[in-house]
Amino acid sequence: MKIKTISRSSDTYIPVRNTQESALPRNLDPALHPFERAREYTKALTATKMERMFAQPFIGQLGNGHRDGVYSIAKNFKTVNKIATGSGDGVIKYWDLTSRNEAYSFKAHYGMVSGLVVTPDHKMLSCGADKTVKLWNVQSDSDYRKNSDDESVNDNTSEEGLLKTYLGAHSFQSMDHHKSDPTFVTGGAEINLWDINRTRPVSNLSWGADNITTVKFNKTETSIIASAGSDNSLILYDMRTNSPTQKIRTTMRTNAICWNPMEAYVFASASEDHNAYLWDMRNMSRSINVFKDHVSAVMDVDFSPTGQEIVTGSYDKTIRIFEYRSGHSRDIYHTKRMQHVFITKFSMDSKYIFSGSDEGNVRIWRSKASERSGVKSTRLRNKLEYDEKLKERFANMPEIRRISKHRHVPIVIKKAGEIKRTEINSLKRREDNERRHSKPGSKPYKSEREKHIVGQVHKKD
Amino acid sequence: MELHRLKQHIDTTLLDFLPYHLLLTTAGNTGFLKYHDVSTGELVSEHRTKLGPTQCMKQNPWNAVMHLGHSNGQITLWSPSMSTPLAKIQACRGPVRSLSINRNGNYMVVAGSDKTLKIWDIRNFKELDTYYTPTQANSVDISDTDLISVGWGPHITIWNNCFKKKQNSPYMNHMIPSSQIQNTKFVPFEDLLGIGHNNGFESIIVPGSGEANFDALELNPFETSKQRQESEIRSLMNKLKPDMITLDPNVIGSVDKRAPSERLTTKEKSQQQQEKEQNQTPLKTENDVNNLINPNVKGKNSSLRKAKRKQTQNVINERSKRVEAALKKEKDLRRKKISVSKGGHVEKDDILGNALSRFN
Repeated sequence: MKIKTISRSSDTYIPVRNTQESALPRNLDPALHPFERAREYTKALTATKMERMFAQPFIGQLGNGHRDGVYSIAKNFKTVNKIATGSGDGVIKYWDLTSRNEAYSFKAHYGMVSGLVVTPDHKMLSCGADKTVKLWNVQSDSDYRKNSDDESVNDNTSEEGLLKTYLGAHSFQSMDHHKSDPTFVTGGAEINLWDINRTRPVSNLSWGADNITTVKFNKTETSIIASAGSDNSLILYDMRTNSPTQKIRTTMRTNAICWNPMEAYVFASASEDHNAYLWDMRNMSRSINVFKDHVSAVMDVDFSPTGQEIVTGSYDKTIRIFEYRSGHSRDIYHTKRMQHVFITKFSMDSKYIFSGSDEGNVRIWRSKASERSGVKSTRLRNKLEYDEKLKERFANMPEIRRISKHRHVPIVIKKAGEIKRTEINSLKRREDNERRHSKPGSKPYKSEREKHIVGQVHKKD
Repeated sequence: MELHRLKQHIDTTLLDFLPYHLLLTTAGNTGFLKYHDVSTGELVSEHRTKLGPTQCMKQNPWNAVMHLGHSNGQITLWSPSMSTPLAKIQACRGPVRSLSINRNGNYMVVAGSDKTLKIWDIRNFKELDTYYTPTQANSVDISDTDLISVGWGPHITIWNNCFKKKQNSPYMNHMIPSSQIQNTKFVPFEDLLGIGHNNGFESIIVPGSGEANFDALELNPFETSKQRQESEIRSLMNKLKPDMITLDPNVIGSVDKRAPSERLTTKEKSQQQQEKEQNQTPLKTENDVNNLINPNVKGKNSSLRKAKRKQTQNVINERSKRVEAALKKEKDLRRKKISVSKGGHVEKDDILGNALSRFN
């Protein structure tokens, strides 16, 4: 009888040449891996600490910024490395993000640039308080021209700059362009639909008499438009019927709107009451989420291209990033020099955030503070993925939770947050007292998600 | 050349090392168990066993609890964070000669001076089987595949499948003539058994004793020097804290589902009690009110009335309604009691119920 025993040859395990990988046999029997929980927890703790250590969200600013506050930023939805900005002194700039320098700069308007868009064919459209909408050619083949011979130089030069001016009847407060059609919409004293090839508005979509401060085209369900007005209303329009469909009245004014690029019926709004709200177009009797944490009016809101996160900029001089379904912010960004933030936008690859603030700088931030953009080796990538899972697994352990949640917040904002909390608590207490001393059921509890809604109207034909 | 002297350890005869916690443990004739952190060089904790010189010491590789065998036949289980043993087992009569724990941490084998070889289930501290050795065994060891080697006199007996059921005969026998076996130890990942005896060292082949499939990312017998350096750094980074050593290693990151009466320490309990007393309003639930109903009270100063008086008169809320109802009930009970004592008939409740009650 032959009895078998273990005999291993080192030749099978030790590489002969140093270019060879050594064999790494695995055995997943738990008996060979003692203290699995404790070891994973320790690794998760280290990973969390490392993440906070590497958290450096601020990258830099674009060029030398503007000479006045930056009040509008427009993404180029077709390319990753271009954005446009407009400032309070009527100057618009087109930026090349790879070099962080301005590619074009125009004095576009008298007074403020109130709306700015990059059209699908890479032109800029701007509107201002001077009752004009202007179309600019920024066909960025300048790089191409540098490399090519002299023959092609003269082709486009004459076309650079202002292409067309549209004259309006009132000063404009906001504008947006259709995803693919040559149509744009402007908001002001009335909301107008324009064809880019015609000089007069195609139609007037106004419902009610108040000013429209924000308009936004839905980029997926492309004929839907949302607008917010100075009468605290949110109105939805349908381009196919050329009319408004429904209107919501909120307690405070909405400063900005952004459609979710992934879920066509969802949009977010930034409100003057320190919160941002998430809405479902199909049922607007309540919002589907409330994003709290800011201590002053939220000035702008933008969805990441993945639809998973939103970024908000606030008058309290901070930027906050929220996960789409959670109520409190995942991160807060601030610097000493950044003033009131008026506009925040995700980059088209969702890795960066641009912010425009009162003091005229356009800042670039990482959307994940601890992430680095360099090329990663497979090993590093695997490790980061593994760490991510570990952090997720032990996210609720007290120590890890504490470390990952901790943020340095400016004292002013911390104080303001505390004051706000006491205010809210005392209001709540008062309400509770009133409820206790009145007839049961006469003062029902109101959900936080519908507190801010005053009324809802559907358009009847 | 002396690199480092561990002066705190006196008269030690037993050493062990906890690889994941980087702890050196020592025990010996002084009866002290000491934990020494090898990575920082600090003494983590020292426990007085109060049981005389320690006879034998082994770690449980599954949960890093140290098992100490003593001369009164007791085996004590220790962790660095507790100054008293986690558990005590009376394993045999007379001194414990040797003990060993299998790698899952499920079973322990104890050899005693009373010539017994006992197998314990240390998950629930129950004795499974008893075997007898012709003379006192000097050493026991368990291999990765749960083979048990027992050294007694000049003999070595190897048992197989002992944890599954009681065996009638050993798996293998070996003898080294005119010698005493001092120690036996299985070679990890190999089918070898090392034997230390009076005349030197021998190794024998024991088929089926080693783990055939090793995990190279955990313990790699063929690691290169580069890999060893890296794993050293990694083990330092992932060093487990000494107070993570518990009987159940999976307790970390899990929810303690025991009732608060079991889970909380007396200090926490008293703290909770204090908080409760501070927050407590005198009458909260229906039960509290019902407990106060006492039909024997004649005067107007019942505790219910007191409770009612305490509130402002014009407030009607859930609680005041409840108190009101309880008062009424109390009054009814008292009236009934008085009428019974005067010899009147007992009024029965309305059997017909609500449907006809409106005709009253």
